[in-house]
Parts: sequence; structure tokens; C-alpha cells
Amino acid sequence: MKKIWVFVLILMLGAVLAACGGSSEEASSDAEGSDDTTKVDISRVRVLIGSSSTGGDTYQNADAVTRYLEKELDTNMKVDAVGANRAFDELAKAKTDGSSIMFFHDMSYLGVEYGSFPEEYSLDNWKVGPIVAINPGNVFLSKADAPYNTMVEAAEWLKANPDKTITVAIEAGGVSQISFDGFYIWAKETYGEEVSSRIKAYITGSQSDKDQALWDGNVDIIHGAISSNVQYTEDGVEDKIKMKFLGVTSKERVEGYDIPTFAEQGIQVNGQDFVFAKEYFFLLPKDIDENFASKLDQGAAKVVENADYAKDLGVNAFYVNHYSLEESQAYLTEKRDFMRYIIENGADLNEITAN
Amino acid sequence: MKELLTIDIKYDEYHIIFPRIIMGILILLVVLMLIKALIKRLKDGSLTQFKFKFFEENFDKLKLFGTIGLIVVYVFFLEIIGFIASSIVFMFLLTILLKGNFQRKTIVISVINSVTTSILVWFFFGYLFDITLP
Amino acid sequence: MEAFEILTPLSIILCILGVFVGIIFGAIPGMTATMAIAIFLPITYALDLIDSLGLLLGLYVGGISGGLVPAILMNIPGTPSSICTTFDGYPMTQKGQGERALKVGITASLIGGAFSLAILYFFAPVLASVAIDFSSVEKFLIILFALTVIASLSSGSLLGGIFSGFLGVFISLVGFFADNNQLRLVPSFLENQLYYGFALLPVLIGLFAITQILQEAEKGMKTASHQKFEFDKKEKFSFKVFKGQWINTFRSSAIGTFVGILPGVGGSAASILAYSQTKNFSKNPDRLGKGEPEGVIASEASNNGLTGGALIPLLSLGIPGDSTTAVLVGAFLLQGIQVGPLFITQNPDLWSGIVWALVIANIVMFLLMFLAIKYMAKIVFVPKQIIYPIIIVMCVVGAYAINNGVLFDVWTLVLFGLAGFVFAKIGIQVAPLLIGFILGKDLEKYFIDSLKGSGGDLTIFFTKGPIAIVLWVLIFASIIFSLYQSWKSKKTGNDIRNAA
Repeated sequence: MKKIWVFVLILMLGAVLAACGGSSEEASSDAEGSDDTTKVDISRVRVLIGSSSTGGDTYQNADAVTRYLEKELDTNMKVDAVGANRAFDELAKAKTDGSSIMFFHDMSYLGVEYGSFPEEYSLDNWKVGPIVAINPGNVFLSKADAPYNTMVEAAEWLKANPDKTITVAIEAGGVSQISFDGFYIWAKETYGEEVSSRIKAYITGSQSDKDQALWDGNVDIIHGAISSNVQYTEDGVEDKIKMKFLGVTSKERVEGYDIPTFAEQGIQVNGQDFVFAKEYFFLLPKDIDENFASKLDQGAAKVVENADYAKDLGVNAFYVNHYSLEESQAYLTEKRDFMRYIIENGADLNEITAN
Repeated sequence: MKELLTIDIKYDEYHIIFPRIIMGILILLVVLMLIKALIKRLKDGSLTQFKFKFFEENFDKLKLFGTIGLIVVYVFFLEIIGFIASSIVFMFLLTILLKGNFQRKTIVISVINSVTTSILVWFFFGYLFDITLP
Repeated sequence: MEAFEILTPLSIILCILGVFVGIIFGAIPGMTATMAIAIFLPITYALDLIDSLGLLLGLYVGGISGGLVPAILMNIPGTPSSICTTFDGYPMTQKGQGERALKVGITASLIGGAFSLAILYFFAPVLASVAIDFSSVEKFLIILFALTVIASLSSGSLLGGIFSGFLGVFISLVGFFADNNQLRLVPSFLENQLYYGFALLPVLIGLFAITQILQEAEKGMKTASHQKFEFDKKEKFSFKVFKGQWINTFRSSAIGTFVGILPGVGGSAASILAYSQTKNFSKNPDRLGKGEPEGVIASEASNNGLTGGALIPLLSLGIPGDSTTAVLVGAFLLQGIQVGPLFITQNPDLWSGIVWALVIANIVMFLLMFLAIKYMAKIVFVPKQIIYPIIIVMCVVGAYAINNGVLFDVWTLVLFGLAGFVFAKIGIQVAPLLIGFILGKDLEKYFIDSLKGSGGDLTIFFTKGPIAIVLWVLIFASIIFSLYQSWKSKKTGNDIRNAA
């Protein structure tokens, strides 16, 4: 009897190994299909992402792009969810052969501008790699029974009710703060201090912290993303947790969702429509090996043409968005400089968090 | 009363509010413990006696400091000479140190132990499961 | 059978493999269920959703359960949630009852797992809705409640135990504070390394494994007494152990499930809370901590109770109940499925598939471990000179890998190994320190979150609502009770616990 069980255990172990071995062989045999021009010399590329979660948008985008890119580059890419600070730190120490690279989104420079990350992590100190995806679903939500349906209505409501305040849940130093600041500056310019002084912020962390803050009644509006929050807006959701979309910051409406954009609501900053969408890109060490960088660039150019990649992004409401290595640095720098105005004129968190 | 029960929370200071409270509690506890120890010593009349001994009687200096030293050196070399090499050397030396002799049997055991463990760990975790190893 | 209509044969095989691999990850100090799931996550892309869930849920159940093996046999918790298993499990091994302790633990795990599964299946949506009624105030109080265990765990000096606990909280605060990204308690030359503070796992295995090895080295590595006698010459395991323990078993399973349901209250709080309540309600609280099956039952029933519980908010709200289920979210997203309030009604097949996969995972876990125990238990007979170097290397690998390749985490392991050695000498108690460390960060988060909501008004902790009042009553009852116990045992000249 004993021996049988030992045998079974060994068999199972064998099966595990076969399964794992199989999957890695598969990966390498797939790679043979690509031509050699984009083959890199290193056998393993560590892709550090600026988020420590494997359930978030950064991980999903990194996972999708590396899955296709590793075939083009004929190497193994491993996504390590280490968190922003650690990723930057490792990138600063990384070898220049491309064995460690980073993948992140707009927070990489917003965090520096807002002072969440030290100046040494500024865009100017990296080589910006290709941009490969965009998440247009940058939204604000409130409880379904809130007395306003859009961000503009929320401001109007504040104007009509001088004894009321609106608290917005955001995360400091990132995409949600810049979006909040856009709204805040517009409200201040349009309605004056009398209204804007009654817009408060509740600083917190992850998306589920923001959701919980809304349900706790600590805030009236939260920052969110279409992909992760749409589930709470659908018919059939209990009233207690039901939410509604108040506005999306993308340039045009996101297909399949009936959410008015900030631009069509008339939310402008400094005379321009407030438009913002999160873009995902690679960051490389400043003095990266030219050969590796150009192969990565060519590889990424092929991946973005691949319909399967677009389909993979699509399941989570992300879209393909490509800027090559040559264009990306200038493009992002320009985007950053526009955001700078907002950051400089944005709300002082010390003031707007006070009750 | 209301004033007393309200803490001033400012965004810039969110991060130091709680550490300050805990620090306060720790200081309070240290003072309490000192007072208690003092009272006990006064009672026993042993105010000036100190018989605290850090190490055990006849402790094994070589094994203790040897182990500490080996671990520190091992970690130091991990990323320099790589996981497999440093682990084999470390395990080999530690096994010999803990065994405490240089008999043939000891050496054979430590070689087998160090080589098989290091390679198996590398194979399963580093290679198959793709865990990032030094 | 319904199970075989929904689950594919492949998913069942993957589930079994998942449990097997999960147990190994759980059993190796420094490797956790969370890590196992994160490693297999990318592979699941190639699988169907139900197959990948079979694999991942198997890993989850196996990983949570495997932690009891080193906890009982070597006094090293394989995962953070098996800390309390060491309190009674290891003393049982020292008495020559290692195999019995393992069997008690595994059986309790199965019951805890089955209990939480039943709750998940029948009450998921209702309970999830209750869970969001627990705001930051209530969560703060629950963590405070879990911390009261420190009072009953303190050995010798109660004051010393409390000090150690708060010291643990203090150490957990090192690093940046998430809300405003500001560093505190960090020397400037270590800013990059300590940005995220000390990682839990290296601290845990440092304090347990490395400290223990150093202590043995100090004594010259003599053969321990329990290595000399044959196993189970004294007391055989039989299910009779559970006679008189049913209330304990179910209370602990229920506590585990409940803590699992609350999003954002860490999994290790479950077994800590269950252990302290078992101690408070026990007929012989003095004997707990000296090798009573009662303690092993409490810890293991509760940490497997966590599994079903943590899936409740995930599957019915889309909010993960603990860090491991947070990784599971990734598996759903890779397949393009948002788990949220409508998940169960919109995906009835998937939902019953998940439940069946969990049933299978729990049974497989039990059978695999029960049958493998005889061989696993032999580990205590391996000479220390051979097993210790292996343990150190495994700890180093685990520490290095826990945050995907950070050497500083390995230094944390060494540092806390040394600190644990020094602590034991100067009277700082390791168990309360560790519990403070584990719960400290959450305690702060919910304290600050509560005050952000109330504008700094401390009375919010009392006026929030009836749940808060009940929690205060429980907290005070728990403190008074353990003070009484400590006074009583002092009177009879007994220490509550010999060594932390």
C-alpha cells in the first residue's frame, strides 16, 4: 500500500514537471517562427513594473505586451511586480545590455512632478522606450443616488447648495490627482473660490480603498477606471454599492460606454480641453545598448500590428497605441509639460484634505 | 473635552502621527518597567547587583560566530558569484563547521548535501518555476 | 455528479497538481501560497478559465495548508498564518508527538476549509454585503482585538510582552506611508532599501529559523532529545482528539472565515484571533502553549477557514479578501472576466465550478498530507548538521524571491535572525513582537483612515455604531480575562508560556 502512494506522488511530480517544461518549450519553439533581425543576445529580460500588484492595469498591459514581444525578440521576458520605487532603483543600477528594463505608465513622471518620487527618477534620466498601449477609461464615479450625473452638474450642485461640500477620493502623486486637479482648476476658474473651496480630497491608495471610502460615506466622488468599476454600475447591482459614471477624461467617448467626456462637458484648463489618458511604455537605462534598444523598438512595432495583441488588450478595455522609441521621448515630454501647468496650479493637498 | 479628543491631522504629517503615538506608548512602557524593576530591587535589597550574562555558560564560540560569519559572507557573495556557486561553498563549509570535524565521511556528506541541494533548488525554482534567483 | 459536468478532467488534474505544488510551497519556509499563485499566473493564460482556476485554487488551498509542516516539526512557520501553529505544534513534536500533531492539524485544516466553503456557497452575497458595513473604524478595532492576544502570550513579564508587541508595531512602521508617500523612521543612507520597510516574510523566517539555528549553534548542535525517541510510542492519533473540541474547531473556523470576509484585514490576523479566543475559552489555559492539540486545532482550523472566507468579497464584490486572493484577481483579468457584484448570477457555471474545485482541493489536500505524513515526519530525524544548511539556503531563496529579487530582503532575514538571538537574551519576547509587526501596518492604516473620515476626532472610535461598541466590549473582556489568567497562574507559580 505504502509503495503505491509513493509511486502516485512521484507520478504526479513528474506530471507537474512535464506541464511546466512543456510550457517553456512551447514558448521557445514559437519564437523560431520570427526572423532573426530582432533576435536579442540575452536569454532573459526582467521587466520591472511600477506596481506591486499582479491584479492591476500595469501588470495586465505588461503581461500582454511581453507575451508577444518575447517571441519577436526570441528571448524570455519575465514581469516582476516590484513597485515603482524599487523598479526605478533597480533600473538605475541595471546593466546596459537590456537584461533589466521597466514598464510603467504616466505616473512615472507625474510622481516626480508631484514630489512622490525623487527628482533623480525624472524622465530626463531614462531613455523612454516605445509606447505600446493606452487606457482611455480614466473616470470619476459617485453613488448611483447622488444628486448629479456629471462632473459639471456636481459643480453646479455645489453652487446651488452653499452649505454642502464634495469630497473626492484620489491617490496622491498619480493619474488620479492630475485628473482631480484638472477638475478643481476648472471649477475654480469657472465658479470661483466660493465653490472650489468646498471641493475636498480624501487621499487613499488602491482602487478598492477608494471604492470602500465611497461605500463608507467618507467621500462623495471617487476616481476610478472603466474596466474595474463598470461592474458596480450595471443593472441588478444592490443599491448599497451601486455607482454611476460622472465623466471620462479621454479625448473621445469610450466605445460601448455612455459616459460623457470632460471635453464635451466643457471642462477646460488654461483655455484647453482637459484631456488625459493613461499610456503604457517601456523605460530603459539612459545609456542602453543601441542594438538592444532598436531591436526592442522594431519588436514593439511588430507587436502593435498583431491583431491578437489588440484582442488581448481589448478584453480589459485597453487599446493599442504606438509611439516608436524615436517619437516617445518628445511626445511624453510634451505631455508632461502640459501637465506641469495643472500641477503648479493644482490644489494644495494640505488645504483641501482639512475638514 | 472635544479639544482633547481631537488630533490635528494634516496631509503632510499623515505619516508621523501614528509613529509618534507608538513611540509615546513605548516610552511609557519603558518607564513603567524601570519603576517596576526598581521597586523589586529595593524590596529585595539588591539595588546594585548585576549578574546579567549574555551568552550561555561554556557556549560554543566557534560554531556560533562561525555560523554568523558564514551567513554574512554567503549573502555578501550571493549576487557577486551567483546563487549556485555561493550556495555550494556556503553549505559545504557550514556542514563541516557544524559537524566539527574533517573526517572523510563528513566531507563526503557535506559535498553531497551542498551540491544536490543547490542544484535542485536552482533547477526547480530558478529554472522550472522561473523565480528570480541571485 | 454535478462536479464532473462542470469541471473538465484537465481542471481536476490541475487542481490536484496545484494542491501538491502548493503544499510544497507552503512547507518551505519563505515560500508562500501567494508566491505560488503569482508564479503560475502567466502560465494560466494558455488555459481555459475553469482549468486555470482549478490549478490556482489548488495552489491556494495547498499553500495555506502546507505551512503547518515546518511549524510543527521545526518550529518554523512555513507561512505567516501558521505562526500560532508553532505555539503548540512544536512542543508536541518535542514530546515525541510530531506525527499526531500533524494529523490533528491536517484534520482541523480540512474541517476549517469545509466550513468556510459551506459559508461561501450558501451565504456569499449576504455576507459580502455585511463586510462593506465594516468601515475603517471597525477594522481598526478588530485588529486591536487581535492584538490583545499579546497579553495572553506574554511569558514571565506581562509588561515585557506588551512592550515587545508595541516594538513590533513600531518596526512595522519603518518605510514610506502610502497616503502621502513620505518616509519615516528610515536612516538617510538606507532610503532606497527601506522605502517599502522590512518585508514580512524575511522578518518572520529570520526571527524563527535563523534565530533558532544560532541558538543551537551556541549550544554546540547537540542532538535534541526528541530526535532520540521513536515517534508516537506515547500517544497515537485518533479522531477522538476532537472530542470536546468541536466548539473550539467551529469557533476557530468561523473566526477564520469571518476575518477572510473582511477585505483588507490580513490573513494572519485570523489564526492570531482564533488562538487567543481558544485560550480565553479553554478549560486549561495554562496548558496551551505547552503542546496541546487544542492550540493546533485553533490555528489550523482558522487559517483554512480563511480560504473560503477570502473568496466571498472577491466573488461577490470584486474586492479580494486577502493578499493571495488579490493575485487571483489577475487570473480572472487575464481571461477578461471582471469579478464583481454580478459575477455569481451572470456566471452560474463558473461559480459552481469554483466551489467544486475548492471541494476537490480540500479533499486532495487532506488525503495527500495524511498519507505523506509518515514520510514528512521523518524530517525531524535528519541530523541538524545537514538540515540546517538546507533550511538557511531555502530561507535565503525565499527571502530573495518574495519581492522578485531584492537582495536587501536577504539582509533583512540575516538582521532579524541576529536580532532574534539578541532579543531572547535581553527579555524581548519574539512572539508578541512578531504579532505586533504583522498587524502594525494595518493598525496604522485604519487608524489614519478613520481620522481622515472624522477630521481627527477620536470619539469616532466609540460613536461609529453598534458594531464598534460590541468590539470594544470584546477587547476589554479579552484584556481583563488574560490579566486574570496571568494573575492566577502567577499565584500558582506557573508561567503562562515558557518561551516565546
